[in-house]
Amino acid sequence: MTKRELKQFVGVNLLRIFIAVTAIFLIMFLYVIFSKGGKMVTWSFLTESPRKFMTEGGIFPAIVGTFWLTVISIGISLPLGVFTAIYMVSYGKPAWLVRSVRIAINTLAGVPSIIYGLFGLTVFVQLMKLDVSILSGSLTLAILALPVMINASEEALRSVPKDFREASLALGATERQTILRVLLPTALPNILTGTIISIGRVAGETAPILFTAATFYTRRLPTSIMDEVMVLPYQIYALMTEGAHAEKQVPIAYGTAVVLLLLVLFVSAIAIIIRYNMRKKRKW
Amino acid sequence: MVNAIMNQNSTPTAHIRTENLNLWFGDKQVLQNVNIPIYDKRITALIGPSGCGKSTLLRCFNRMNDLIPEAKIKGKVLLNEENIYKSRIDVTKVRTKVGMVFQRPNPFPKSIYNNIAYGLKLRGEKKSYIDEVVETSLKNAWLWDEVKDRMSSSAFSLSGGQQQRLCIARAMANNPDIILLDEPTSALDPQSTAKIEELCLELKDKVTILIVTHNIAQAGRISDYTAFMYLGEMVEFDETKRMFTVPKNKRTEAYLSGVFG
Repeated sequence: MTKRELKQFVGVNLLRIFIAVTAIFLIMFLYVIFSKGGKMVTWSFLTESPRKFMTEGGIFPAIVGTFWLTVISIGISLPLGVFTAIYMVSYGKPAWLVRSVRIAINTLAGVPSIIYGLFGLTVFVQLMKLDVSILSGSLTLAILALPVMINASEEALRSVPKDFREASLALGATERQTILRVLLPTALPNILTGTIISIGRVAGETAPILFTAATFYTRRLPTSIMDEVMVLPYQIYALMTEGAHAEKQVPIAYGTAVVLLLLVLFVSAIAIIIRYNMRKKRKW
Repeated sequence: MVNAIMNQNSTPTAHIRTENLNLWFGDKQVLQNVNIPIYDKRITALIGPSGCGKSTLLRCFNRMNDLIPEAKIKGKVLLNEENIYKSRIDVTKVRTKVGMVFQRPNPFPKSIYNNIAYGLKLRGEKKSYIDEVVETSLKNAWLWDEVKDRMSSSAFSLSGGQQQRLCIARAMANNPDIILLDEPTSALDPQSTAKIEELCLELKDKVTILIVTHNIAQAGRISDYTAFMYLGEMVEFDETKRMFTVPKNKRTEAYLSGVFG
């Protein structure tokens, strides 16, 4: 074996070891969660309300709560993020404003999520008097998701070939028409990728909703966005730290974890399918 | 009467022309005092070595240089004797009257139909009218027979030459006075190139054509007038036949005979 072949051999096998380690952690992770919580997930677990302070019954209200928080927060952050990105990409003036916005976004992206929770508590719950509610939680989560949303949208818009923009303008389109008819539709699949990532992030966050939306135990379902709700990730946290019946609560916590994982996978799968169908139609 | 004038081979009226046009990109002057007439229903070719400013000049005629923030322009570009650089002119209207086809075919990631209909939809034309124009434009670009059964499939399913003809049809759908072609065949194979050249000759009855080309032979084959540019200056402008046989300027002669390029 020559020196170069040896280097090649060592290099490739090192990479193999690294990927194996990564894979082992992922498999272990799934095994632990599913082995401890998998058998909890039955039809009644998914569709019934909890009983006796979360020691029996199902987690349906928490599924509903997570669903609404995710949908509403994405509904808020998606347009905000896309419009911000459009401004930064298409108009981008004055330069100092764009630069400050970018610094703000990147700072926002690095802020620990519990601080979002405190911010939401101060501004939405107390200052704007929205109380602990789906709305307050969604707004807090929307701000959390915003940096990812803006960065993904900006990248998506920048990756649209500039040929398309020139072609559109040369046909007598205004900047606005070009954005709406060419830029946005072309960038949409990649914007969706950003949305998928955000959904996973938002659905799984605990800290931002701790003080803004979540309640540990309620038997009834939310009737409006001003209600407080049970939420999957917070429920896991609460089951593991509160209450006096650990032997009954811990399995429910793992069961909830399985449901949360599946829910995120399910939503992502839908978005991936939509994106796949969009991408199939275009190539350049 | 128009025919009579053409038969006498007299100079037709200038459809668009520049008057002492200067252009800078930042501190670098790219066009120097350019004066050129583009005659009505004729093909005018812009030739010259790379970087001589011919594409930049072309993009002055539909104000595409506006997209480059550091571009600065002095002088006039007169479209039917109206300066398109005067303040408060509607640039979108200018670009509707002056169509453009780019070096690389650049159809939108849309269906064939929607590519052609794009400009018409921008102006909110009626569906029946759009249908009609889409068909005539495709026929004019000799694409109709090839695509009439798959109007809703993606424009990217067409070959490079077909895509470029689609772009010509798309520009023609706006019913422009002039169309600017920026090296439209440089990314195409010889057969597609020949087809585009023939198409230009056919279209010149309907529209004034200004074409930038790297290919001297192409200019000789299709153009009525040729402008030779060098280092941002208009060195020589003349009837193609005359320029290709007896160029007045030494640099033109050198370029045409392939001494530099």
